[in-house]
Amino acid sequence: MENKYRHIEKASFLKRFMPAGAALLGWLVLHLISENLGWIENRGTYKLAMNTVHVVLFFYLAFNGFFVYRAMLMKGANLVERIAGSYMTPLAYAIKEIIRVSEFFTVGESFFYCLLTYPVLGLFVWQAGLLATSEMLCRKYYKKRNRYEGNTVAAVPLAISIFSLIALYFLFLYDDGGTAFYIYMESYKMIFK
Amino acid sequence: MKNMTRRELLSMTGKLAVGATVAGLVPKNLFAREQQPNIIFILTDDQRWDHLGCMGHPFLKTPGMDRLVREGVHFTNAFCTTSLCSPSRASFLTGQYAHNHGVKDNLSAWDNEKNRTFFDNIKEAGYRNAFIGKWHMPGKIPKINSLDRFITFDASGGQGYYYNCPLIIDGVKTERPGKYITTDLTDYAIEFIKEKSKKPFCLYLSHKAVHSPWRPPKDLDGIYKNEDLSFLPKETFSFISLLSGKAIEGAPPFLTTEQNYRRYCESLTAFDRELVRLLGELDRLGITRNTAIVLASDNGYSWGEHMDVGKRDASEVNIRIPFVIRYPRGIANPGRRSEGMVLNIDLAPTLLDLAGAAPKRDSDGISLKPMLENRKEKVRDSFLYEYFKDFPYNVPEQYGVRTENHIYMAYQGRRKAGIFDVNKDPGYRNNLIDTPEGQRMLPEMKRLLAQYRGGAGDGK
Repeated sequence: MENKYRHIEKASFLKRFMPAGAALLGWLVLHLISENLGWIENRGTYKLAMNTVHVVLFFYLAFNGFFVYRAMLMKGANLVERIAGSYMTPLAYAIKEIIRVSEFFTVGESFFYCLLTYPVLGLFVWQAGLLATSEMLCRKYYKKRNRYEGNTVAAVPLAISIFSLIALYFLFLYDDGGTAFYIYMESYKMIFK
Repeated sequence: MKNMTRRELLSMTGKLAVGATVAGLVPKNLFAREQQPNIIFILTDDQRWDHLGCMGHPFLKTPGMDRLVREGVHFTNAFCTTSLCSPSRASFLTGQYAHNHGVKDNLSAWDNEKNRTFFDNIKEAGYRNAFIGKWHMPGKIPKINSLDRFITFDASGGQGYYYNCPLIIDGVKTERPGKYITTDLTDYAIEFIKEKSKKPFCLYLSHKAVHSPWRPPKDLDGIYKNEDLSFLPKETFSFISLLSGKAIEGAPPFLTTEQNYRRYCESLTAFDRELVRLLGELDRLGITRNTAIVLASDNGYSWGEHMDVGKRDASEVNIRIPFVIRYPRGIANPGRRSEGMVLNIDLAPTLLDLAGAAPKRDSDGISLKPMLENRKEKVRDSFLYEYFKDFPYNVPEQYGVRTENHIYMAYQGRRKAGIFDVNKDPGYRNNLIDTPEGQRMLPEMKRLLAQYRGGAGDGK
């Protein structure tokens, strides 16, 4: 794929992936904090801390890819690297979930668990739309500075964004997610029962 | 009067004796027939055992349920044997543990060839039967031959909707636009009990309320919005649904725990309002005294305990259920609390006993009639708890034995088995299994578990 970004210096591999690594580390820290707040005796403080850390964790997981994508572009990462880096934290989250649920489920079921709307599949679908949007915004930013040669809005990122929105609507909003869950469970029964 | 010979006297005495016996027998049978009570079983969904106004809830007003408690026997140590909708519902209907009736989770189908409900025996005893409401067991909705009326729903995988829920009325799907389900089901229940018949009735009224996603009727929406919720457990926080795997319980992840809890209470208030209406109808019909009403829930519910919103483990709040029986003609000392352990599997044998029907031979439960008549304080010392894997819910398969003071739990997977003092430690935080006390109890607990499970032990 032709790289239409110009005058962006390509940093070393490690430096290119540093934003993704930092995002992963940030998630790990937040996750560890969220798991270890039981020592707070005061009810109000505990509640405030739990609410804060979980909301931050939720938005962190949901949005970090947007910034990682942009930061990696600035380090000269190509498209595949940007996508891989942006998916690093959601992927780590998915692996953590697979390990966690493998206590109760078979290996196959544990992987199938990740196709569940919330949290993993929804996060991955959301992430796809987010990265496509991030790509278009990056193009706009660099085009203004004459460092991007193509169109700001292109068919592929636009289609991915639209697909992501439609999928999210179906997964979470249509019938409160009930229909998506029904399809998921019917698939489960076909494969595992 | 002519003097009788000895022979005549003996002959007459004999005839009188036979006559009296026959005369005594015939009216006795007729009398028993007349005395068969009407039966109403009301099943709520996910209602906690302590969510009745009379249980001291800070703001919940439940005059209907409180009336049943005042006029009946309130079983304050009532439990479900599996804290999950479908298995518990099958246990109510069959009187069996889940490993016997086979509905182990929300995916394993109800076997209509193998399973017999208590309706069969009740029908044989001369009743007309109706099942109205939530069936919610996997597989196709079966044809239950012993039902004269069968109204249920299959929308949303059998969970139904609070509003506009299509009903399957005796096999015919019918749209119900503009209807609120708790009211709609109660309307059908009242219609059934008002039907003119010489037969007594048995009504199984199974509500959607108060299962998620909680939606109160419009006039009750927000009635608890300003209530103080500081009584909820310490570990509760607003965004429990953002925890891994919690949102799939059915609670809308976009609402906070507090918002969901208020809606739960409002939906419960709506149920109670319909209960008041039903009880009033019985009064108007003059059949209150001869109608046995049982109120129970399929399982309990956690509202923040163990950072959970749900019901899928053996926590006290999940396995305890409300259980009240009102039967003015058949209860000694109404208005009392009974602390003997009773179970969902006791419903079938109890109803059959009250109806004078043949007992269900395959039942694991025990009739509570002696407790109603105050002849016995308890019918058991322990019971089996089972929870089978229910993908994709993040809970290990588990089996346990609950005695009056302790619970022993064994889990599939990595989680360590435990023994907990349910009175001193209802949150199950202090595992006694490695203590001298726990080690003393362990062999007996294991023996009981194996006995209940037909030798299967802790399943490992």
